[in-house]
Amino acid sequence: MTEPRFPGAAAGPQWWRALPPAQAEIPCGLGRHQVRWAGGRLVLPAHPDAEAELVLAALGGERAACTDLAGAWDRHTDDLDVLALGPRSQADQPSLGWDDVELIRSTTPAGPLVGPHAASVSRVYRRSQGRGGKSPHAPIAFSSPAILGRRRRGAPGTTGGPGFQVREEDEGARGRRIELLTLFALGPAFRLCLAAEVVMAWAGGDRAGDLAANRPALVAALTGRLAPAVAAWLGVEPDGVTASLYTGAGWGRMEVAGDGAVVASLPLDWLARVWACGLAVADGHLVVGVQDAEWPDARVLALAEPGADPVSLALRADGAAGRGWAIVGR
Amino acid sequence: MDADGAETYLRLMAEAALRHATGPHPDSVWQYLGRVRYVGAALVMLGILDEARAEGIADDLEAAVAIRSGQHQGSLVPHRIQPGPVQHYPGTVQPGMAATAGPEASIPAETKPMRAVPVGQVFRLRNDDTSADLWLLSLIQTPVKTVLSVTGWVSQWSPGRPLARFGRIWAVDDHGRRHVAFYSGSIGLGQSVDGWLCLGTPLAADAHWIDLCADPADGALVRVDLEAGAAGRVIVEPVEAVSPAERLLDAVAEGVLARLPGPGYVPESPDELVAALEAAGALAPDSPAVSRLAGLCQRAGLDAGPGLVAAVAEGRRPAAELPAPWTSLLAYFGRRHRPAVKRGVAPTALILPELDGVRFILAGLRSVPDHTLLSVVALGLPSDGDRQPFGLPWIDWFPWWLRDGAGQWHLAVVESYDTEEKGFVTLGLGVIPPLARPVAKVEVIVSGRAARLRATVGVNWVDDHD
Repeated sequence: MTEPRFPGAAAGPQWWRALPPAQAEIPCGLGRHQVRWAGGRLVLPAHPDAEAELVLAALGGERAACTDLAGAWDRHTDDLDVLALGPRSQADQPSLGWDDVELIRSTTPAGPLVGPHAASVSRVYRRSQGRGGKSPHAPIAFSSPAILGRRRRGAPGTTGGPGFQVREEDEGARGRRIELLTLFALGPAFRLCLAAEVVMAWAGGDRAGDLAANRPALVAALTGRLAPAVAAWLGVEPDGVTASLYTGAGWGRMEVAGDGAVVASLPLDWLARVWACGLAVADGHLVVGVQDAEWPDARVLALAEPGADPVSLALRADGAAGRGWAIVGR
Repeated sequence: MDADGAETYLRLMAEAALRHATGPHPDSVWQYLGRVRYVGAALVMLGILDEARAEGIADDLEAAVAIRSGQHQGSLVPHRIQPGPVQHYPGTVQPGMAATAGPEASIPAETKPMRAVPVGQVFRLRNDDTSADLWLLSLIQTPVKTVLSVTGWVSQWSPGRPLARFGRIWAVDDHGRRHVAFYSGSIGLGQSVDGWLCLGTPLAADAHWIDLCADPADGALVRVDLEAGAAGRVIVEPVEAVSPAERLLDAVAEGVLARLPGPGYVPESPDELVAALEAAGALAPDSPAVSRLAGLCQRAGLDAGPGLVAAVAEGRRPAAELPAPWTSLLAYFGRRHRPAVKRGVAPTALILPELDGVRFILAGLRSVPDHTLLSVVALGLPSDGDRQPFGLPWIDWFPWWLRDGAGQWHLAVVESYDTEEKGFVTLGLGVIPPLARPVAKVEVIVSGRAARLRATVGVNWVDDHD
């Protein structure tokens, strides 16, 4: 149940063990198919040989919405925008649904989605409109260029009208942003899973070698999620929490400075192994590491207070995902 | 410079902003966004942070807030025009290096004559539908174009075509060469006119005078003697080189001073700006510029820089003596009784020596009871120098101060910045506090990276509208 340790990643069980599985249903072909996230990856129960389907689609066969979605997911598993836009806590969830995404897409001035499956991904959400979504004539939502990506004032090589001019080279980024928002529309549980995958890509996966160049974004991602957890734990202001990426042996450190600020240093993969699982604060303890887990059970290392040695606790998830964890043993 | 430290600081600002903007008691989203963009713009201007990255951080914050808002129709994030690319200050490479022109500057070699001619005559437009008294303050001839600084009042005009009469003005020189003149500036019924008459064609070097005409049938209304010399004395003196970050803080301080007439909320965040610059290694912890800014915030009574004020009060930062011009302004606005300011115009004109690649030309003063405007022509400023976001316009790198004959200091801040072509910019500088009418002489001080210009010019008030 343990895995080799990556640089910047804490030792422990497979990182997804404490993450509850996520499940959603999307229109695909003539029916609706389940999309699940479990075991550290997105799975398509209705498409057991998705890779073969993709090959056939590339040869001119029909493309399935499910496999298109999986392709989009894969393209964002190292996307730091997931951390910049995504949830900071279990309670902090962007209010973004299928209809919102479709409206964003419909008000995008130009630019295709990125990747070979763009048309089909678009089809998924058009179909979803008729299934309990808002009226197609609902007010335009989130049509801001800010949501859709980088902007510049009109310059050579721009498109669009006054006040909404976009460089042609930004079109790819805009499509990518819309694609990310479609993934967010899968629901809160998927957002946490995607965030965890992104973290692991940088903590020990394909992007670990680029960590140094993106340290500020990762430090901000860690701080932005640890701060509300520490605030809930200690009743302090989250602005008084500073965090850094820990790369040494052990779980890291956490202390209260002379000015009352909480200073923490945690490994980056704390975000995937602990925070994404909703484990950050459990029964008055701050969880700093997972020793063993098989959701809904987990054995964790947790702090009763800053500066204290961590203690080992047995936790159980309280019912459905996101409802928190309770101590069931020591 | 520690670019990582700067970026980390900005990203943590954005994280805090997101918490505050979407928390249980949300504050103004725009306030936080503005602060992030302000600090980001400063870091970009100083060359510490890449512009795309700084913009991306603010854009991501805006998007993160928007998708949490639940408010549709883009109400939180309306389509808006984005500030243009931020210009790097040329001095960020090496403070004190040889002067260079602005990034978009295009200054022709000065083989053609440059003239700054005080005029001080009124140009009266009268016909069936227009009644206007335009004071011609000065004529400024540059290699790029020739303009006349204009101020005055319009008491009547044609409702349907208010600028029609202004569109029929000619200049004819002593060789009979005719130049169409175009008005550019503000105009309003019953209000002051402030702007420029621009000659459409170059004025010849051998021209000795020009007649300005409002209509061929009217004949000459005003003759401008191009040989009339501008009076003034300019001293160029070296200044102690300071880092670009410290110059920026001084510019921010002057922005705080400019708010003294109407104290209240200060949208910028000096605390965060200083913290970001320190995180970037651009400022020493004991920088006197920080202490000056803190001291000013403390004395100004504005809602600005509370963290800096506390740091000085608790001895965590050294105190600093405020520069004399700053204390002069603080004392002025602390007074209950202030000298009265009357209406008047003064044809002050003077070409200043080149400073950091920019040539400034004084083009006249105009006062109304609560406001004095100094008109200036500049050659070599960037075309979008006024579009830097959040109070960090490029022009602020050249702080302008005036000292009147009574020893009172006045800050001059950019109120209008109009780009023409080839680096030709017309500026309207608001003088704070306004000049009292008895002022007969002013010293104009403009500071660059390594030098300071001190121009002493007479102020000959030629009109009283009252």
